[in-house]
Amino acid sequence: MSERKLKAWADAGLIDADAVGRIRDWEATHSRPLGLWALIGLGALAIGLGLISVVAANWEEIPGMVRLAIHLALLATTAGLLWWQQTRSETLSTHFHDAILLIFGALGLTFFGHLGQVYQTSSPLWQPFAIWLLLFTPLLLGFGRGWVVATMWMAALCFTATQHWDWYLGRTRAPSVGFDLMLYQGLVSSIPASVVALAAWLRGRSARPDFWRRLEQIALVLVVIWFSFAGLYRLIGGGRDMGAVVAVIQSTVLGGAAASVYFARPGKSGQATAVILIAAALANIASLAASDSSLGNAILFMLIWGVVAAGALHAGWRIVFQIAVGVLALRLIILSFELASDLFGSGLGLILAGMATLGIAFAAVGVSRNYAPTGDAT
Amino acid sequence: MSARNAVYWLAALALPLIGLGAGWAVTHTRAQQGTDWDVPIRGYDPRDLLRGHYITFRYDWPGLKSDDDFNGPEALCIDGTEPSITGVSELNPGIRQRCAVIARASDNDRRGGGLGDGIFYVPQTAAQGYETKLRDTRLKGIMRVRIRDDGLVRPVSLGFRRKTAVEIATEAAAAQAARDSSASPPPPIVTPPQTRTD
Repeated sequence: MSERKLKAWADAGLIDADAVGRIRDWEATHSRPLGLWALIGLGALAIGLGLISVVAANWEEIPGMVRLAIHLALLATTAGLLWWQQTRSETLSTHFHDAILLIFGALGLTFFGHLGQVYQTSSPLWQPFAIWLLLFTPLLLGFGRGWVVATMWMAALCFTATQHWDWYLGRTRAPSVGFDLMLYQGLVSSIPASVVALAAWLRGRSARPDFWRRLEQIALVLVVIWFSFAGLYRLIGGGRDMGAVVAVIQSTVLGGAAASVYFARPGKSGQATAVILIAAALANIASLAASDSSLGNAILFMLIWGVVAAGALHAGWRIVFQIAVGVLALRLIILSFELASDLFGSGLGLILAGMATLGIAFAAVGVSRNYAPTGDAT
Repeated sequence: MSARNAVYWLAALALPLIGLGAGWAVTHTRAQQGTDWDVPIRGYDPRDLLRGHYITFRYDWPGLKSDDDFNGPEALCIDGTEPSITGVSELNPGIRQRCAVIARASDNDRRGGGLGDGIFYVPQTAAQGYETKLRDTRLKGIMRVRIRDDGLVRPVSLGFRRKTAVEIATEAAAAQAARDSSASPPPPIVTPPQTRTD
């Protein structure tokens, strides 16, 4: 606070002499020696960077045991930092807290790779990831606050599951696909839906509703992306013959998740989420019938996103509504080109597709502008 | 923060540290077990020896007919006295008694193969040297492996020695045989265009 400003405000009659005195006193007791702090910070930064580069330059020369000990010590230091900041009266910002948790988790994950390098051991990728999940889930789900930790946990969970699925399929080498394999595939691909249900349930019962809200959103986005590409679940290892059983399992879990969200979160947001999950469940079954028809798949895709847009309108999710309208418009444009492909030879098809594109774009902008809810996404 | 929350917070923070530390201890203890043996190796693929930080290689088990298309045997009976191998043969119940040690392919290997190949982590600074030596036709790579009682084979260190005259002669004969067997060119996949003679 500059003395010049205070004088100018006092002269202009904005504040009286009393207030000027009080501001001066407050500033005197709360002033921070910024210059000194900057110098101390600069010195600490130089020493830290120097230490890091000395260690990095000689990393390969350091005996494996010492390297692992340094790695573990870094983990312990990060844990200490988390413990210290939690016990202080004024807690850190959500982003900073989550960033330290992210660093802690990343250090833990790289420790497995480090062990493998030092002891020349190797294992399928799902194993270290599964152990990591066991060790870090209580911390991440118990104390995560925002989308950073929610995303890390969700990514690790899905990656572990698909890696295990891949490894399991490679090992079995069974000539025919049994029911157990179909059940397993159905459950692995139902992980996002199960997480939606779990997060919705805990959202109203936890002291950190924001974290569970984020986790529910991330998992729901995964569900919608997953089922937007009707063929995607076939991609993770299944053939056409497995489709029906797997789709029934997936849709059952989706239906269960919808019920769980509907009852756990009374209100418009919960209703909209439940309806989107139901739409995904039905579209998933219907996609079996659509199989390779481009029109059928496009209709299913647009039905799902139409329901997302309707749900967003009902619940007042502005950004979600705009994204849904944009995705719908894009899919319509792609469809118009797909259907006009046999007319391309004549040039007429190209003109029609171009006109359709312009019309759809104008309509989408108009809808988005006039009907988008004003509320924030929750 | 309530006392109950503080206890949970402390436990959640301690669990990863304890778990990772225990994982290290177990890995370390198991790494000490077993006996050390020297196995000749060669580069898995001369054009692609290095995969990131790892050298991929094939074992040249003494006395075993090697085949590049083959993952390698699931279990081997190894003869000799530690660390020198006099010969190996595929394991069968009849010879189990006389084996000095038995090596088994691991289900848990990242590569999922048999005992035919392996990977060896090398520090970035040493990778170039290892690669040059593996390409050197006068040198033979020798992998010191540790074979645990349950049969798990784990590379420990990589060394090199000059090839003997016999080895060079055998390899030359094998290369000649390979050339002979593929002497006739494969049938053309597309008909070659008529060459213009004008």
